[in-house]
Amino acid sequence: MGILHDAVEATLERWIRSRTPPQREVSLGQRQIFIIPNRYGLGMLVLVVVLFVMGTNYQNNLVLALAFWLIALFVLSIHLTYLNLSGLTLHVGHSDSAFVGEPMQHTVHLHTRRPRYGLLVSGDEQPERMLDELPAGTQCPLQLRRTALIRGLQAAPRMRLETRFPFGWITAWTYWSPDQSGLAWPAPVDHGLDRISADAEPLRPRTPQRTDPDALDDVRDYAAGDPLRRVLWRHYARRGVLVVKAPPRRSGDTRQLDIRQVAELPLERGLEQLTYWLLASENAAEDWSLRLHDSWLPPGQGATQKVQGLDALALTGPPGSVRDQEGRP
Amino acid sequence: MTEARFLRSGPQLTAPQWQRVLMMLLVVQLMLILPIVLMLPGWLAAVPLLTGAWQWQVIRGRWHPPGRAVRWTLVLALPALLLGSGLNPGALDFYVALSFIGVALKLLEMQTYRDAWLVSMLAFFVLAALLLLDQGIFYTLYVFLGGSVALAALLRLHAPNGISLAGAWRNSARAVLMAVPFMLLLFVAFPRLPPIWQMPTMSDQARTGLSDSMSTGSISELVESNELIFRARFDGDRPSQSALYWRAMTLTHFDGERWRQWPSRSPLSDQLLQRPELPVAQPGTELWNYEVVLSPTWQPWVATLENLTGYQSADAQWARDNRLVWREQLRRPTGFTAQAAARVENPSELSEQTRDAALQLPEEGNPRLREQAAEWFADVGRELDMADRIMRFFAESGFSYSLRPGVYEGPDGIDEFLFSRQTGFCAHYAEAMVLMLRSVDIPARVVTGYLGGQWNEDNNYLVVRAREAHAWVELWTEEQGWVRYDPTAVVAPDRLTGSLSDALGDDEESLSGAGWGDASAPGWLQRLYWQWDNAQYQWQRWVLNFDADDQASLLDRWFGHWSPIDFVRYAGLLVIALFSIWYGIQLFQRYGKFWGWSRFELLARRHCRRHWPDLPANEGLTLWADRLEGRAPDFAAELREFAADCLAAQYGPPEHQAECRRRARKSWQRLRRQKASDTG
Repeated sequence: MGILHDAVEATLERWIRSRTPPQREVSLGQRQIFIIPNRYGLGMLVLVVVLFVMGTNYQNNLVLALAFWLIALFVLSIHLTYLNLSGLTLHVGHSDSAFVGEPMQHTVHLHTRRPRYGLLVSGDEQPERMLDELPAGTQCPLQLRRTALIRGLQAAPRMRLETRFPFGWITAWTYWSPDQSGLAWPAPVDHGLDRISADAEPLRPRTPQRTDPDALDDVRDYAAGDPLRRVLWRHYARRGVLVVKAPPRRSGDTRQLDIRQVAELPLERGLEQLTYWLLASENAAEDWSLRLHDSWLPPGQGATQKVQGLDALALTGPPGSVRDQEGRP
Repeated sequence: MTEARFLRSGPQLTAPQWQRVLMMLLVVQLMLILPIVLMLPGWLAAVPLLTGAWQWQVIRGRWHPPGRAVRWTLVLALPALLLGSGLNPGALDFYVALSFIGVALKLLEMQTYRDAWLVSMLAFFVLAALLLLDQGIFYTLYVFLGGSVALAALLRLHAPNGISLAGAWRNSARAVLMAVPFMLLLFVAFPRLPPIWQMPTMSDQARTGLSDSMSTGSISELVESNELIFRARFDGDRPSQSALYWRAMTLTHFDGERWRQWPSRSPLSDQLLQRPELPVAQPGTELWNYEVVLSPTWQPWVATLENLTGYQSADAQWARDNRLVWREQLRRPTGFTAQAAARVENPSELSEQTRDAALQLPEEGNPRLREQAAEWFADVGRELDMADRIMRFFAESGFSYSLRPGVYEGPDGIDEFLFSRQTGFCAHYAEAMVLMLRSVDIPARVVTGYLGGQWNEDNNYLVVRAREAHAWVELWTEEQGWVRYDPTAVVAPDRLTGSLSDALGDDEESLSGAGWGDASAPGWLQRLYWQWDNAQYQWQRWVLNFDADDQASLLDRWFGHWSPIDFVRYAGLLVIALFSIWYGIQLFQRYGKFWGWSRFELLARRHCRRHWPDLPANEGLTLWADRLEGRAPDFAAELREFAADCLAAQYGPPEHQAECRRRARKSWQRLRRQKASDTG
């Protein structure tokens, strides 16, 4: 029984998925809308049968007419329920980023030309939302929520849009997988590693801290995008080489976050540890830099730096990805 | 999300949403109350009022929902009360009342979506059950109105906040009207099935029409009612008013006080036993075809025109005393068609059994009647002469017709009527004449039925009411078979040719309960009355009485001459027509664009190229405007504006598109005039 049920359900699910592939925009039509009488509709049909028998038994044409009228309404309500969904358009929107284990918000947009009533939006995780009335020409944002289980790009969840309007005898619904994804960052978890000890390793000698802004080791080669104010023009006149004055440090310390500091942990857990340190640095308002196998983020702090760092953590590949092979021939 | 979510229970509603839904369901309940009070015990109305008010207060948070004890008490007590109020649990109205109580009690436990759905469905059921008890035009409209309110309640249940009261009404009314054509199609085309089982409709149904026994002497006053018995429509010729004798039954057995159809209660089957043959019309005599729609009288007796020669109805049986008897009581308007002849061939002979029944006489009583009859029969000697002698007696001895003759009691009551007071109504005369005939061994019987009826001249049909009831006499002769004599005709000849009120004195007219369709009413009221009567007739004829026969004949009339190949041909034509319409719509939608805003753009391009053929065809209107800047500055400015409007009409924000379209049209008209004036 259970096996049969599962098999039927899996087949049904495959069929539904084949009909509703992920799309950036969808206009609901016969391909997308599923429609079937629900148990209340079947109950109504039972009532119609009772009325028909009653009318036949007493040879009462009016009771028969009432039964026919209800049947006509039933058939009509199939169309009305279908029309309540048909022609709705759904567009992809913006997906927020979130840590693994936290719900990720995906915003999609629903647009209607005609007025609609009694739409029920549901999905895996978000609470059901009843859209009682959408006047003609409404553009309505909908929030879809899904908790990411692994880091990286997360596709938006499939949403379900249902209606039983007008009479509740028929259920029409549609599935839509918006073709949009959000980035899931590794969860910030402290696995108890000591970052300082890793820092002390000689592979990255600690820069002596200077307070003099004109000191030599605050000078580095010019790179595209450096502000022209910082270019040391005298130096250029004398030597013909463009160098810039590095921006002054706001605090004395730069936290060097490095994938090699967490080498003893498995990759994913190491990334979690790095995320934890990253957030801790941000909270402490200290500069930090991040070195991964395939990328390096220069020291800095603030919202942009944080998002860049988290994105890099989310997207980094395991050792053995392209960059790593080049590094270690 | 993979599970079958369509089997979920419905949406959860909040308290204010419930209020909005419940309000509509309460309206449905209130609509049920009116017919319930009219047809069933009045106290039933209190039940939904009580439960509805209670639930209303519960939803507003003022009262507590009723406890289990209260609910069980109500569930047990109300059916007991029903039984106590005299409804028969074997009859349908008991169950209608029971389902009504069920809906009302369900109001007390309205918590889930399912409850609201159940109440609306039960409301449909009760409305339908009430249709079994009454089938008038207004009541039917009322039922469909109630159904629409229930639908509006359902509609509101599915968009509780979004849809306003007016919106719910509009949507429900739209659906209801859209469903009507399909309903009519089903009504006309869906096969009618024979009944499966039956149950008496009303516990205690008042019967109308003629009684199957007659006790003339004890009736002091005859109150006549306007109750409709049947309507009849003649195809072609119709008999004269004085020949409209509608026979319903024959009263043969007299026990000294009371006339019955037969001695004991049962032997109707005797009359029907050996399927008697129908009379045959004499060659060359007048024939009449007519169609009757009978009102439900709750009796099996059916009135047909004298000398019936044929009838079409599966439920009718031809009885040996020349009349139709229905298989069961008439519980709904019923129709049949029949044929009658002015004269029929005589039946060869009278069966022994019938002769005995037609000669039956009490052992004693009314001695003067017997004496007088014997004296006259000794004079005349033949049956018909004897009947004529009696008629002459009625005509010449100063008899008078009255609806309140007083009581003629005792075994010699008819003597008193004949020889001392000499006033009475039709039954007195018929009874006296039959007794006289029988006392000299002439087989005779009392026939009851209806005489005449009121013609609706416009529509050519006849309305026969209870007050047209009449009694007359038939006697048997070897030569002519059964011969009708109507002694009332010689006492009150107006009774035959006109209406009953013509035959009565002024003071008696009030008794007869003249209707508002009578000649005494003002003209506009009469017209109104007859229009309403006609509407009812058509309703009964075409809606209530639309049975399998009607269905077959209607379908036969429409499609009967079609052969199967015709069906294929017409179906093919229909498919082609539908496809053409669909294709036409597609085409129209595609080329509709040309007739829409972009037509102006095309026309403007043609216009420009006609005047400046050097304008490159691959450029847009805006670039052309730039090129024309030097040559025709005014035109170029206008063209630039026009091009901008065309663009905005197509690609601009949707809310401004209509306006831009309008502006572009105006602009195009200016452009055309401008160039025309330049060149002119």
